[in-house]
Amino acid sequence: MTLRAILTFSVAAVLVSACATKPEPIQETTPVATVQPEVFEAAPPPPPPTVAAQPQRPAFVPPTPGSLQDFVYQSGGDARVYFGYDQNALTNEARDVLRRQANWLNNYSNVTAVIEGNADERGTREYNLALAARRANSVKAFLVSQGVAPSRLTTVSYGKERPIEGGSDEFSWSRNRNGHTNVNIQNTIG
Amino acid sequence: MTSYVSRKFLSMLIWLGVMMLSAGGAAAQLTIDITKGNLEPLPIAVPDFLAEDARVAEIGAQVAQIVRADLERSGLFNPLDPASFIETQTNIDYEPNFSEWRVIKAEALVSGRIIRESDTRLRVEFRLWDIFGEKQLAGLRFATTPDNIRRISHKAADAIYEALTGETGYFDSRIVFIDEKGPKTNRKKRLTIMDQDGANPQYLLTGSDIVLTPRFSPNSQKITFMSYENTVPQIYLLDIETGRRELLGNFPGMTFAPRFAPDGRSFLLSMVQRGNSDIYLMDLESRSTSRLTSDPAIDVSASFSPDGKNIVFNSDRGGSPQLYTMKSDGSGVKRITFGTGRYSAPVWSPRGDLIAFTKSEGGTFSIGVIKPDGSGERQLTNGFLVEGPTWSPNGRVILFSKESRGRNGSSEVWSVDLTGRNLRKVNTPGKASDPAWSPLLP
Amino acid sequence: MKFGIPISFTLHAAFLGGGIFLFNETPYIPEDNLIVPVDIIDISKETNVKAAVKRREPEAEREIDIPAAETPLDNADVKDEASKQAETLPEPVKDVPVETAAEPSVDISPETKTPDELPEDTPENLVEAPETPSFSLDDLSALIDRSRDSQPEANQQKVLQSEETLYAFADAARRGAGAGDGLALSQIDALRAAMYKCWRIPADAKDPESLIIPVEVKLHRDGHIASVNLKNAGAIYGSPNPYMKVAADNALRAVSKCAPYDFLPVEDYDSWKHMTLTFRPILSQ
Repeated sequence: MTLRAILTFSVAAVLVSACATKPEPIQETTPVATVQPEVFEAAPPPPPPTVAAQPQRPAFVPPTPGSLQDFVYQSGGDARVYFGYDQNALTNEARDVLRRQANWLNNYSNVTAVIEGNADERGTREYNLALAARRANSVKAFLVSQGVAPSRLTTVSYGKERPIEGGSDEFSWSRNRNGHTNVNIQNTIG
Repeated sequence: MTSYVSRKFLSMLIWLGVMMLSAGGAAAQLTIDITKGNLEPLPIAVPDFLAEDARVAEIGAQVAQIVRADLERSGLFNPLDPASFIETQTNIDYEPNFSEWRVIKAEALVSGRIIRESDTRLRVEFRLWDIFGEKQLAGLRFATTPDNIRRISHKAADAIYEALTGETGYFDSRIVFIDEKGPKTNRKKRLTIMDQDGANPQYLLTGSDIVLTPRFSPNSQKITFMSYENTVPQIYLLDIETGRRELLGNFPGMTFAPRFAPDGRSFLLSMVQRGNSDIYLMDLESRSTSRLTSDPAIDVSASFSPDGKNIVFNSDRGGSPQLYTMKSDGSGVKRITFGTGRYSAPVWSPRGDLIAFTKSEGGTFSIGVIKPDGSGERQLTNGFLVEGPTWSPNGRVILFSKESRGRNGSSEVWSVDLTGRNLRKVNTPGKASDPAWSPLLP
Repeated sequence: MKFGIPISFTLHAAFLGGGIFLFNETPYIPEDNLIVPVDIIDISKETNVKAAVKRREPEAEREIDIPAAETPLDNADVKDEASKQAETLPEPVKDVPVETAAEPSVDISPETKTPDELPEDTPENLVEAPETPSFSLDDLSALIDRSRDSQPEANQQKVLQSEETLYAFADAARRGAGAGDGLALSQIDALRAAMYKCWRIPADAKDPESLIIPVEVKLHRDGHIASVNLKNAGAIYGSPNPYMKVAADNALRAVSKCAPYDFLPVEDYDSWKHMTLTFRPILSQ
């Protein structure tokens, strides 16, 4: 059951990331809405890349091998690769990250992943869905080229629907143009 | 008798007669061409509809208020303050006292009444008068139930609009849109419908999956939209009356950007395969699909011309997103935009004469229109982020999404008319995006 | 015999000069005024113009089915009572109230007015213009077909050929004797400025520049309106273009709204007592 699996993953992600994420601003969402156990909607934002990189963090303990944290850690601190404006070509930096991701995925061959394509807000909704689909495909194609079985990777385009930064500035836009390798750690029990 | 020569001869005869009867030359008639006029909204008086008792009078006031609001929002009319009215008609079957309405500069008058035929049945009647022409322009009667009084009011406003502008109205119509809650990084999106004036908003789906880009069927009874409720995002069809919802084909890749054909029997969609989006046409009954584009570039946002013969779509095959047209079978692809900006989200006008689009250039978005042959591009409005135009049923007004900057930036639906005037925010219950205007309701 | 040549010369000059006046209707807007053949329509045919406007036909009530607008999801059963009907109201009364429900007729189209409501169309109005001579120069100039401007396919220019009109015409011409040459340009500008304020240009109609509406205006000496008539009402109201009718109403409204025309000089009354104002939208580029 993928649904349950993702849900479980979501809960796990909440637990793991709760201690590390910066405090979210108070949201005005209704209690009813937050209680809804919907897969994509209720899933919290994936752990921000700043988690592992935070220098002031005392007494760093390496994450458990094979865990989501481990994947992020091994990827270089971020499960996402970033794109230029209206681009779906991988940068050298992105290729480095994806090589590490492929390496990790090849080590944990029971893990599947959903590659999520994202776009910044400066495009129309449908065009961005198409653009982000291309980005997800670029990521997948590269991982496959590094030996990951295509059957383990699915893609989904979120267009501009799931920004990780809310701002409307170059920094936020550059962060929101990404391909996110969302690994499914709980796959084996699903 | 009707030959040119005989007529000329006749006119010469007349002229000879004139010469014999008059001592000098006759004055030529003065003819003056009037080529310039104003664009002021037409002052119109809409008194509360007459009623025989207090309860019905309340309805009469409500009807007039709805009609006034519709007309005012169109930007073409200036409903006058009822406090300024001099004449109080007591029977709409009498001609009004035109001179008294002229005093307050009304150019048209709507005089109506409500008659209660039974507890469940009302009759709404009105006459539209040309105050300066001193004649009746329309006289209509509707029978209705009390709970449908808003629709009847919109129908009355449509009739008035048509009599005074020559084109069909758009007030008896609805808008489907996406209701949004929360900050941009965690936004809830729900499919919502409301009357064109913002009344009667209702959620159409109970789930909390992301839903996007709803569009009406040509008979206004169905809505197609994209939802993330499956692992693979797909397009769905929702029957507004029954609430029945169905997946429109189980495609291997993501399907999105759905839009009905004008006959309602098929619809256009985009599907992603191996990262590439192409345009398909799906027959609703047989569910068979035919592929219309097969370019390695992005091909999305297809929209039929109202005659169903042509399609406009968005592609970046030329290096940047631009608008293209093709025949309905996918042949004859022709690029129609060549500007420096990036064009997307084209929608063919129901009138057929224009295509509305979104353009971004230099960090600014704009909503514009262009003729199907690529000429006559005009910008109607712009902003940090305006996108996703949708046409009013008569092709005169455009709704679009408008967002402001930042994490808690607003998402609103705005309207603008074809001349670029009359820019207004549309009343929505909260944040809103992706509006789609229904055709006139049946 | 020695006066013969000057007299002859003068008469010929007057004849030709007058002819130029008569057959050139637009002294202020220079343009080619081709003389185009027009059909002469007799009075009986004239009444057919009315038929171009849809006559209300008594019919059974038509039910317009409006489904319940509310609760689209929860309320699958559409209430039958919610259906409603739209029909045209009977004619309003001018003096005495009548039983209004007597003639229910059905047509949602707002242009279904009775022909009686269109004074421009009726032959009476053309033959017997109130107060002023019933036939005037412009009836003759109607021979010069201006309708090509607006309705090239429908040259329905009306020319009245009854005996009375000939006499009336002569009478009108006599009165016009000795009139000046017309308004000064500044006065025409004043008129145009006034019309600018009174006329809402149909800029938002489809193909607005094709909506050309010539309106014949007769004025009293004090600037009040004696009569306002469309010059080609039949073509306009019979036009399949719905914008045409609205543009005509609009033009007539503008002329009425601008009254009184007391800003026109009384001493030049003869030159503006009969005018044709041609509403010819030109959208600035």
